[in-house]
Amino acid sequence: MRKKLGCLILAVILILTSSAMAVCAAQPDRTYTYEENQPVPSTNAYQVKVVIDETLMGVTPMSDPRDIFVDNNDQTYILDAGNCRVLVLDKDYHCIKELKDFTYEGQPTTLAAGAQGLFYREENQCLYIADTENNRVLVSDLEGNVKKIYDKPVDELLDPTVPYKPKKIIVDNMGIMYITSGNINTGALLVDSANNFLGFYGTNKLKMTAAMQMEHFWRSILSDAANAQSQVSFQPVEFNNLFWSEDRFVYTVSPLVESVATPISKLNALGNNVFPQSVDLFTLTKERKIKGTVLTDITVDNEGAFTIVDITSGHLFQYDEGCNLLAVFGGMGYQEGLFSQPVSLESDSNNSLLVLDSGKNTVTVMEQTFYGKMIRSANYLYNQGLYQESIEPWMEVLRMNANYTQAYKGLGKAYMSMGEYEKAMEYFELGKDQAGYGEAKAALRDEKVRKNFALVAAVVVILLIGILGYEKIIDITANVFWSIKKRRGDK
Amino acid sequence: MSPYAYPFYICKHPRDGFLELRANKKGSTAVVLITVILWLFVELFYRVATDYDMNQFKAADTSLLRTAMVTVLMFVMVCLSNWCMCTLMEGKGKLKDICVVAANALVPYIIVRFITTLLSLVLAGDEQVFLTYAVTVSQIWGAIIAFSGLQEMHEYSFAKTIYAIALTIVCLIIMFFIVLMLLILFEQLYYFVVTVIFELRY
Repeated sequence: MRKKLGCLILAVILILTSSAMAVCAAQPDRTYTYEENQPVPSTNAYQVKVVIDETLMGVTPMSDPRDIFVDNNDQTYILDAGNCRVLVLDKDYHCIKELKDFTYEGQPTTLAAGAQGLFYREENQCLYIADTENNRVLVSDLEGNVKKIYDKPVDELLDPTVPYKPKKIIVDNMGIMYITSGNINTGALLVDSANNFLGFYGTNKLKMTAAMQMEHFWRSILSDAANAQSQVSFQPVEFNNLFWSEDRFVYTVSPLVESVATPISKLNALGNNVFPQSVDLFTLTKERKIKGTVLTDITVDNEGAFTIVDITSGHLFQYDEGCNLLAVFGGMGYQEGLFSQPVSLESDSNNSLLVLDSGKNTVTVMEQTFYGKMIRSANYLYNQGLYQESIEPWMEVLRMNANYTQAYKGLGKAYMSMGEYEKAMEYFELGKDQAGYGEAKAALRDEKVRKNFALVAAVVVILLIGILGYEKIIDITANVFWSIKKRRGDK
Repeated sequence: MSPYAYPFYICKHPRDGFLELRANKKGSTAVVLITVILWLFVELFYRVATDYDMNQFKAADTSLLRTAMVTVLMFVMVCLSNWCMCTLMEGKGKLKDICVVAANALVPYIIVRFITTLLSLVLAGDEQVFLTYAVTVSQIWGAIIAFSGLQEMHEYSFAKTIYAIALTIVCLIIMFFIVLMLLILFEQLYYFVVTVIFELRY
């Protein structure tokens, strides 16, 4: 009996350890974040849930997929540009439809290889496909019946000699399309459902840089022929990608060049950036200098946190809605959870991220870990000002990652709002928040002074008298002593 | 008055203080030593004990050697450079006199720095301004003491004192430059010798 029990225990231990090792091997521990402008390793915020490849989908292999879209019912749409088709996947990532042959007014039509943009609109259940090489936007239902084809809109503002290359497309709740086109750098084209051009949207603003100043100087000296060869551009850059969020904002990513003031922006209906000035560009600039970061896509999940993807290093950068960096994860490689050419990114209703990799021809689904959920909810509560409610998630975060400075800061604020100033001071010091520490100290001091007012006031008055009149006091005491001595001498 | 009382007297009456000190020959090496050691102590105390919200230093990075470099070494260099210049400019002060002046000029700064460091435990946040203000005042007062002390010790006119101080600063810069150059040269020499030894051995 005892032998059997021993065997059983041994077997259980073996199974447990082996599975634990398998988990370790599954994903490299490469999540990091920035603390005081230095990269610091952190606990994994995301882990691979499943890798969607042709076997899982049950179709022929993809080739050069370009764009991915996830709708509110978690159906996934993939634009497989190399095979000129659109794949529709259900919740379990099995392919339920393969749209290859479209019909438009009875005539068959197909996509040209190299289509770049895909959008699914729930209101009319139509797919909007930017058919880049055919210079058109195709609107089709899920059966392959093309409802409408939008060629280049005719307008005085659009130069007819410039070819129309629609790349990325989003459609707002009014059915107005926002189309980015190659060769057009004055913003996204706003086109309504009758193919009327409404204007440009959200042009990237230029920032003067030292290189541009120098160029300006040289151009004023050099001949026209020499100027024609100049490499420095005074043109704004095009958007790399657009994202339409449920709260009716448009998120954009642009190339990370010095002259672009807002490479990541959240645009309102007027096309103005509403992100605070404090968008953490420092991290991205630093990353670009080392790795040559090129941002290809942005996505926003239903808690307002946004994630951007860098095609050069394969890293995903996740920020909360207050633009604080939460985690950087992913990377280049052939393991699960690493990428070779991440071109597009979407998030589903569980806040999982779907990363489309056109190098591996797969989609990697990454789900939040417990740690990821905790930093998210804690940061969310913190940004809402619900400091006391955020104590519990912060504590959980610290249990898993004791180096997370933001957690200490959050706890400091929480204890500050609860009036436990000494604890708050302790946490502010750990969170490297000097201003917060000062506030807590002042509050603690005021409280103590209020409690012991009589004592404090007495000490202050005595000190003042002592400092201002110590010479007189010495004189008086000396005189008193002198007189006493004299009187004694008299006796 | 004992030599130990003079620093406080000079603190209040710079001109009369130095006049009396010189006339009574009460300049003391012990006072100079104590002052410089106190300065070192106060600088360390300031780095370590200032409360977190006003501390610009990381406690872990504070080193005795580095603090000594900016206090004791600085003191020696300044005294030497002034001595170099003023012997050439017919100053009457000896090296010891110059050291006494420099040490006395430090007294208000030492006192104020000590008090403000203690006060940093009570004051918070924006009130730091008062502490910075007090320290700045003490530094300016120290400069005035140094100025009148030098004028008294070397028997200079007002303009000549300014001239001497300007030359002292130039001399200080040159001294730093030479020290740096020597260090680099000796480093090269050292590596040269090390390489030769390596070549010979293998």
